[in-house]
Amino acid sequence: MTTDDSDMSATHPNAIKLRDAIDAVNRGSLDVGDAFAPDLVWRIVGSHPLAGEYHGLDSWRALMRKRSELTGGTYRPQPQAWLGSDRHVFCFLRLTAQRDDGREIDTSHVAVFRMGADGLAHEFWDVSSDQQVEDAFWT
Amino acid sequence: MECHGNTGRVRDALEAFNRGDLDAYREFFDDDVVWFVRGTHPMAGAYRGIEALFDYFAQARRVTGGSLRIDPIDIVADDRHAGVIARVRASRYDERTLDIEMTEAFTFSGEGRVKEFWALATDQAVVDEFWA
Repeated sequence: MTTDDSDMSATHPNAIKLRDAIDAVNRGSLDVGDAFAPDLVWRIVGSHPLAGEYHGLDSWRALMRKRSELTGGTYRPQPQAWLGSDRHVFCFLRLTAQRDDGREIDTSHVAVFRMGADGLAHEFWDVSSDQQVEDAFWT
Repeated sequence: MECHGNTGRVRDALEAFNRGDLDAYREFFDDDVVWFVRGTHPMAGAYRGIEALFDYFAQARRVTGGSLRIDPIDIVADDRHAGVIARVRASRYDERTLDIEMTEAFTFSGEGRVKEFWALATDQAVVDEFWA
C-alpha cells in the first residue's frame, strides 16, 4: 500500500474547511470569505433559469437568496461525505426541496470545489445524478 | 484488497478498462449497479444491472476501436464514495476525436463494489457530438 492509495480524503484540511463553510451557509450565513476566493466562479449546470456561471461573491450571494426564495426555504442539501485533496473537494449529498406549486426534488449530487494554492475555493460545479429531474424542478 | 481502499480500487479499475481487460474490470461492479450517462446522444441514459452496463461498455469500446481511455487526474475517496477528475480520450473511425475532462461520482457497496455512477463533462455538446 502506498500513501496515495489510502483513503485519507475525509480528513484532508480542504475537506474540513469547505465542510465547515457550507455548514454555516446551510445555517443561513453568507459570510464565506475565509473559504471562497473573491474571484469565485460558481457554475450551475443545466437548462433552467438558474443555470449559468456566477462570478464573484456578490453574485453568489444573490443566487443563494434566489434559490431560497424559489423553494420557500425548503432547500436542504444533506451532505453524506466531504472528500478533499490539494486540488479539489468533493461533497456527496442528497438534495431535497419543494416549490410552491407542490413540485418536489430528491436527487443525489456531487458538488465539486476546485481549490487554489491559496487554500481557497476558486470554482464550483455541481453534478446531479438526474439532470432532467433537476431541469424540470427549477423551470 | 481491504487495505487498498477505494482510491486504489478506482485506479486499478481504470487501468483494467484502459488495457481492455473487461473481465478484470467487471470485478469492480455490484450486480445491481446503476450507471447514468448524461447527454442527448444515442448511448445516453441509465444502465441498470451489470449485464446492461457491460453491453454499454462493449459498445463504447467497439465504436471507438478500443481507443477509449480514462486517465485519472485526481481521486478522492472514503469507504462508500469516490470522486474522480479524469481526462477522457477516444477516437472514431470517421476521425472524430474526444479529449475532455470529466467529473465522476462513484458510490460503493460495503463489499467495495461500484453501486452507482454519474458524471459531468466540461463540455457536454462535444460529448454529444462525439457519440452521435
